[in-house]
Amino acid sequence: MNLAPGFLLQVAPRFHVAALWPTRLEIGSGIEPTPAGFFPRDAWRAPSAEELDLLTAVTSPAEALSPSHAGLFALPSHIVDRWWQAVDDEGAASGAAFERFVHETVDFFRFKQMPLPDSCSFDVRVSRAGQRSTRLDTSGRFLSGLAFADAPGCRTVAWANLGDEDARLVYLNLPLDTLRPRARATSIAAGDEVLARFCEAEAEYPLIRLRLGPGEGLWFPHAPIAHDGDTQEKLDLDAVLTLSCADA
Amino acid sequence: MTTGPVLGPLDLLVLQPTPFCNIDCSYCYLPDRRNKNRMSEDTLERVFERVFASDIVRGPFTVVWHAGEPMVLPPTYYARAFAIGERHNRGVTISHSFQTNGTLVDDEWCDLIERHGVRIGVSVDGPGFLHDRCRKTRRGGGTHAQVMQGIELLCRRGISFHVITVLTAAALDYPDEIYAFYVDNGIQHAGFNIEEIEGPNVHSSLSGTEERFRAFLGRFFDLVSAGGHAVRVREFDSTLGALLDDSDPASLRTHQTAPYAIISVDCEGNFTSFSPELLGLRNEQYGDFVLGNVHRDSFAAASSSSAFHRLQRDIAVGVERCRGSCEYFDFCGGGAPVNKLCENGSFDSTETLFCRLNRKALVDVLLAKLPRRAAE
Repeated sequence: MNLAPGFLLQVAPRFHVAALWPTRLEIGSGIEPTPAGFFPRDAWRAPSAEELDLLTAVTSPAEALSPSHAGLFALPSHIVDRWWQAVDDEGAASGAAFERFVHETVDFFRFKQMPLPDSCSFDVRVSRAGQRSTRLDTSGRFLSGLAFADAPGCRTVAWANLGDEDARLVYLNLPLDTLRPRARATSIAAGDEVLARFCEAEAEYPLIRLRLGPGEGLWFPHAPIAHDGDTQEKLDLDAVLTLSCADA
Repeated sequence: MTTGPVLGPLDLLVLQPTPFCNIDCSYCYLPDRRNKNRMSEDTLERVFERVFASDIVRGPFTVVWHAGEPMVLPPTYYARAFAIGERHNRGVTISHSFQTNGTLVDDEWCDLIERHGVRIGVSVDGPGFLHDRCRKTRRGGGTHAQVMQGIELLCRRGISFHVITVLTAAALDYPDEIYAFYVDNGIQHAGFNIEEIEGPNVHSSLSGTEERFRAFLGRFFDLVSAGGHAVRVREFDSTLGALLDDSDPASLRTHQTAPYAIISVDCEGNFTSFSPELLGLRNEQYGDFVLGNVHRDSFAAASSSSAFHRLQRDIAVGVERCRGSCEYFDFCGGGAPVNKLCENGSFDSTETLFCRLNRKALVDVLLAKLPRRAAE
């Protein structure tokens, strides 16, 4: 099945990150529905020129990141280091050191004029290497695959690699509002229901896998995007910062 | 009885060993940087002879080797030059300082730096994507990788150095990236120069960027504070010192308006005073700004010339206009003459881009941070 036009990737304004899309992006071979959730099939390949055109925007010196685009960004090393310092100091993502990390990250994004919601939560998920998903079900024991957010009623705002190896974000390039008609879902159907109907009906649809270097991240478009992490090619622990907000 | 202006004391002796520079920065103010002439030992003899024969040396001063890339000449040149300086020295402490692009630093240079306690300033504009926009080779390639080799060697040898980062409009979006660059590369002392309108650089990308410039300074100050001041920024330290410590804000005042506080000598022995950048410029009113030549003129004799008097008078009038019109005068002292001339066409003028950014914005931003800082 061919890719359909969806949201586009670009380097976020006021960030200097080498886009290198052909080496960052991989095209999947479809979706594997399982009782536990929806996962990418294992085979990945390099994108064709036509697929790159469908996935990426020509970088422009725009003042602001368009709500319909996803923006590649990079956290500076002193902010990433602050997270690891919090881990060293407190051993967990809580407490004063973690709050300091959050404040400094917020200040950084504000300076960069990224579209931060008035209120958002910061979570850091640490995952083992070798997993095809980094999202766990409600029992906390099993991988649960693609979803629009980590909690009901939430929308992922940004996803960033805090580790010192490349991280991989798997996503569906069609936002929720584009999925609804394809999934023949009503406008009031819940996101998870729409995603389930789409994945079952269009299991051949190619997922996308985006490689993010240490400190790099993706600012999501405003419309919810089904996504997940993938640590199959990692050697060490995966640490990913997720910013999320209430889904209006 | 008439009295002339007070001359000196000499604070800075800027010597141009050669106008030549091995790189070709797009914002450079030096008009003659392909010229490979060098200051001869005879000229060096005359420079130090004149300096120590004058009454403007009244305490320690610094010799800055600059206005061309000093390291295109070999370390042996400077070993001889330092010896010449010492031979004429009357027991005054002379500090030698190189402002270098860092591309030529090697072990031999490090040996010289260590042996003579030379202060080193390396010009690096932050991470490669910023630095290489303007600091280029003559073929248009970037120079960042070479500079970083030099910086790494200085760090490896344990040689203390500071960096000068020229801020252009492009840099203003990247305070975090510049700060991270400093921290990641062991840079503990930095100074920000702005891209000035001087000489061949008739436009500055910073024109019209005052709000962004203030945002940059504010963000950078926050980063420095959050980092426990492990990175010292010259502009923050000097301005905060004047604002916080009840010290005389005159410490921030420019020496560029005081006759013979700064003397600049080119490789042929021509000298001027006030702003070092004047040497090498030409102007319809003032010609080449040369006040004399060490091979024939003493500094005292040059100070009685009509060229000196005119320069000194016009600069002083400009200072008085600043004093009468600018509430930041105490933190400035009347601005940099070269900026007034290059931006406003006259020494007898007031505000420049340099004032707005390097003085007014800086003082405003730090004053706004002070209550928060006090609360912390």
